[in-house]
Amino acid sequence: MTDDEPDPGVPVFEARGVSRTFRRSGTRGRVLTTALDGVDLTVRPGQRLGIVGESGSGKSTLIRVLDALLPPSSGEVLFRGRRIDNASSRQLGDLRSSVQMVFQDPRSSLDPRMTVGDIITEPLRSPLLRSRPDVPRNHGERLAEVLEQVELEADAAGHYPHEFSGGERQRIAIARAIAPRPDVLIADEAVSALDVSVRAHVLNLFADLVRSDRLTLIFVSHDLAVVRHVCDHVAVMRSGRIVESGPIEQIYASPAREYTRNLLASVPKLRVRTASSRRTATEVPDEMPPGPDDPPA
Amino acid sequence: MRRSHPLVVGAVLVGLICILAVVSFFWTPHDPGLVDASIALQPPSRTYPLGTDGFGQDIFSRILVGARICMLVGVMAVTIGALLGVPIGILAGMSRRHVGRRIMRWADIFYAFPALLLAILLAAANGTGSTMTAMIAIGISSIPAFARVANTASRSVMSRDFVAAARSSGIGWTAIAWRHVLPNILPVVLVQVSSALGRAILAEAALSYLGVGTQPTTPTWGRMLYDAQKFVYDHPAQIAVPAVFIAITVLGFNLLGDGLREALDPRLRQEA
Repeated sequence: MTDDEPDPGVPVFEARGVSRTFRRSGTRGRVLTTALDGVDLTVRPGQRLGIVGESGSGKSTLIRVLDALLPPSSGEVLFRGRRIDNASSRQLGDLRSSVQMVFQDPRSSLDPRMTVGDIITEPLRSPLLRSRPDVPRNHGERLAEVLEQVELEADAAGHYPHEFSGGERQRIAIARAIAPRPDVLIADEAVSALDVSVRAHVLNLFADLVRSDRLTLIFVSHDLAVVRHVCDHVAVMRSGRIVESGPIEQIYASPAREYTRNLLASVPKLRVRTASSRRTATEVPDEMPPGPDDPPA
Repeated sequence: MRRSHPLVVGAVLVGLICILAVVSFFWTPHDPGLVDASIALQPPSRTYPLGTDGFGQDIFSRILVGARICMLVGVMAVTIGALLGVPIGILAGMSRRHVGRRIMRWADIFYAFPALLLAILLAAANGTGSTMTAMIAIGISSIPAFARVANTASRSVMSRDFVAAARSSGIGWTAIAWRHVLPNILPVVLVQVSSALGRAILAEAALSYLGVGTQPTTPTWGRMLYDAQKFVYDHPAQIAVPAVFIAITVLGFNLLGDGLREALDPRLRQEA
């Protein structure tokens, strides 16, 4: 049933006209909010796609629809050429065993009542993953391996998540995601909850893992500097639509949309010296004229 | 330390009643069922620490033995309520919102049935009330409260990302319920167990007072209240003794519940 070798020509994910509305009960009956509005998206094998946009632009909804955690209200979602929207959980075996997620807040994504070892090996114990031949069978061995990969002590396995710092917890979440050797990694604002000092470290970890395991990466963030660091393609979202997409350097060099330009302009420069430069200077390619108030060294 | 105060007091009171019940299996000062009209209504003395009742039975011995029924009915009723109510609540909490709501509306309907009415119904159907009908009636009527608590708590657990993570790696619903939902709602369920025990014991006393619970000759605190009320003007202490014990037990369980609630509150726990 499952094709183990992904055909390089078949996109990993394909979304066709995907919409998603949420019903909220307001004071005057029900209110419909549109989180996704006709999104078309193709993710090719080995692509490292960044999805950027302001909060509320539908980024998180989009990846939840892609990962079949939320059904779309309309439209089609295909994983390796097979429909996964409104598929039963049994039909999702391929998706579940090949795609893993890393969430924004490790305080919420790690069960406080499970030990780190149990958390990391949980995907390995999933009935859908056990059926895949390349999922590691020796859980203890794989646990030690991934702990080393994310640079955590081996004895971390016996401890509980609350005993770790934010950065360490996010590395635990990453270890859990890579434990079953997925082909696709989806990261939802995976570094936004971290301190700036830890962020770079976790980000590098992501980049290394993706490179060494040749993963397809979908990296959601509101921070373009972060996306630029790990992705080669970018899709810009606004109000539930993808307003612009393409190779990352192209988008950064010549953003076609006003919105993208504004997003780019809101990225703080990494080497800031003064308060005035922080507000205006952006981390944009050389073509962009430097801000008039460049700090006089 | 200040916060653990109700917890400690509650645990001590509950522990005391448990000890009474356990001790009664090995030792009572007198035979609690021995009727002797010649020593009826005696004031407390060295031989009869709490005096004797209208039948000349030793009140202290009957209090000891009564603690058994009180604990038995309380524990069994709460077990029934928790074993049925918690799964219903988890099921509702894990279902889609509108399905969960429907389940909980049914639970609310049962919430409206008092234990008393149910016990009278059961007793009528059986011909007579018994310890068993009391347990079942109180147990059934405590199901909705457990379902409600479990439902709210599971719904909040289900919204957390570790459940999404488990789902995204193909973990089934039952495994999520056992591995993630149940352990995370256990603290709130525990608090509910404690306060439900208090309510169950009060209900048991009410049922045996009315005669639809445990039948006479088996000493129960509720029955002792009933027997003593005839003498309420001449011997008010008679009615005070079982009343005080019921109050202590209920208070103990409620304090224990409050203490647990505070001790297990996540906001307070994170500081620890």
